Amino acid sequence: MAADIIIFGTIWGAIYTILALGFTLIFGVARILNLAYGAMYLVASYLIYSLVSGLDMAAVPAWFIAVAATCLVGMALYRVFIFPLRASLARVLIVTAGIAIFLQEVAVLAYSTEPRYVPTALSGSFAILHVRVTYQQLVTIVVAFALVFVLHAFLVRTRLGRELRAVAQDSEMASLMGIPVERVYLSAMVISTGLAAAAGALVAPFLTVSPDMGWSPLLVAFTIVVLGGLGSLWGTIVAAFIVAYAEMLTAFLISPQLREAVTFAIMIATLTVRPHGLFGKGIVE
Amino acid sequence: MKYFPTPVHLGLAVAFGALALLPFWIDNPYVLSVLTLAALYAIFASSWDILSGYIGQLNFGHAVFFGVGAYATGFLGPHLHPLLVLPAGALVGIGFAFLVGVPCLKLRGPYLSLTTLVFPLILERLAFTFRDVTGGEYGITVASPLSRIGLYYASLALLLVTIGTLLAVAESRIGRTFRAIGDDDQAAMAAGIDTTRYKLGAFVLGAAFAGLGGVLYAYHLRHVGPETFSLFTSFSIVIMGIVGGMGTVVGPAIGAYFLTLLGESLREIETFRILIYSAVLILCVMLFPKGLWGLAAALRELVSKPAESRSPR
Repeated sequence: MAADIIIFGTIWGAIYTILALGFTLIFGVARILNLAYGAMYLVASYLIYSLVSGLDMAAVPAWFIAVAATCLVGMALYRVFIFPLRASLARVLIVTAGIAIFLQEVAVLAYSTEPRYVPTALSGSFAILHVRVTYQQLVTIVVAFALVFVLHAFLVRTRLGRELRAVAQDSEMASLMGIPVERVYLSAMVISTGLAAAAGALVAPFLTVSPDMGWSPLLVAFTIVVLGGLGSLWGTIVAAFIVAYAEMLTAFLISPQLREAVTFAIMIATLTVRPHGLFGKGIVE
Repeated sequence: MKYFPTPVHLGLAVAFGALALLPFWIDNPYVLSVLTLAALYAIFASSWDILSGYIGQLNFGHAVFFGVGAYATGFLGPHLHPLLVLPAGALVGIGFAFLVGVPCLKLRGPYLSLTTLVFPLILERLAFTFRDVTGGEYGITVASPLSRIGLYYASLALLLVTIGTLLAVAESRIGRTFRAIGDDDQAAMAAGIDTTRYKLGAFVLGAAFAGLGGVLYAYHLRHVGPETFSLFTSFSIVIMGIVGGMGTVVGPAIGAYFLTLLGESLREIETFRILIYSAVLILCVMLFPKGLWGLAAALRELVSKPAESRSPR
């Protein structure tokens, strides 16, 4: 039991780290609270299902195509719906909520509410401490950590990464320094969508894919950002693992059905008791 | 002070008169049931509007308040007289207004929205998990003390009381204070307004009417289950409020009637209902952020403009 909690907590911690980083990126840089964030995870999961199950594509190319296609969807959503409403946080919130429901319903109509299974390319498993871990789950952890390192290197070392951080700090000043702020926002949206899509495409093979699967990653990502504080990479990672282990403790010790309820309780408790989060700058002004 | 009926009050009187006479004209149980549901949604949407429209804090979890009212009916219905179940529903709603409102007091804008969003989801999970109390996914069967027609008039009467009370509050000093907080809460605080108390008051006021409506909602559906707390239930109230026109009390009620009737008239394509709701929401936010009410006001202005331009300024 304890080994289960540790191992599955680690797997989910890695996935939640990616999800939270993508969510905090678009929010920190562009002040856009994107409620359609989870829908991007949903879109990527169904794309990989269609590519692998429908078209018999190999897992690796399918993964890249699903992520790239979802990035395009995110870019289009930004240009058409979010960009014209950018000035109003509330209207962005409402329109992205509308998009999330819309995409969920499209998934219902296209694939029905029946959960779908994505065949895994890497069958087989091994045991650590008597807990069965599939190779797919191992790959998920490795890819998740690799993505975190790549993202960190990107933000620190590349020009676009530095621009993103500059805009996050002070968009007006960044604009005066000649940084094309609008383009940086669009890049943030695409990278953010890409991270949600990467997470969705990674977990699809060991979860079932269903139309309502987008809400939980959105709320989990929000909880982690609230807990970890905005603009702190390490804070986000630590918070992601806290949430993941808390969920696994609940799922294994009390009831798997209460897993999400615990996350939501963490969100509410943090906002009530410590609205600035554990580390970094709080998201509540 | 002399009372002069405003056009809004006259319009409301006509609308309620028509709705009250409708059952004499159309004797169809299905239509009656749809209209009852529309009236109940109108109660939820206009009670949602006080916090969301006037104070401008979008509540994404209004389902908590009528959901607990409905569950209270499920628990208490067999033991209490219906006239006692109604105040019980309101009290439970108020209790939850404190439970949700207090953690939300420090929060603003999107943080408040997302926090209110998760409360019904927690209750949904609890309802699924503690099945020996709540009946799990099957919920609780509720016996209605009223006939179909009785329930229709009860819902309509409650809607009248809800809109009447909320409009009276909105047009009073308190309503102006709500608006001031909505426009700029920092400025309102600087002017000596206890914004915390008003925000909590708005939660309580909205929740009380939602709780009352929740009782009739359970009687109407003859059942209460965890789907009451689902994400879409809460979102449909937000959609009705925004499509109708926030910050007007009457607008959200119109939105509720509009969307409920639209949804029912498209019954054959029931599967598209949620798709249509969300598409209407997206269109509305993009093109008519003030909703149907704002659209009507804009049209009226357009018609009266020539007359106005002639009058000396």
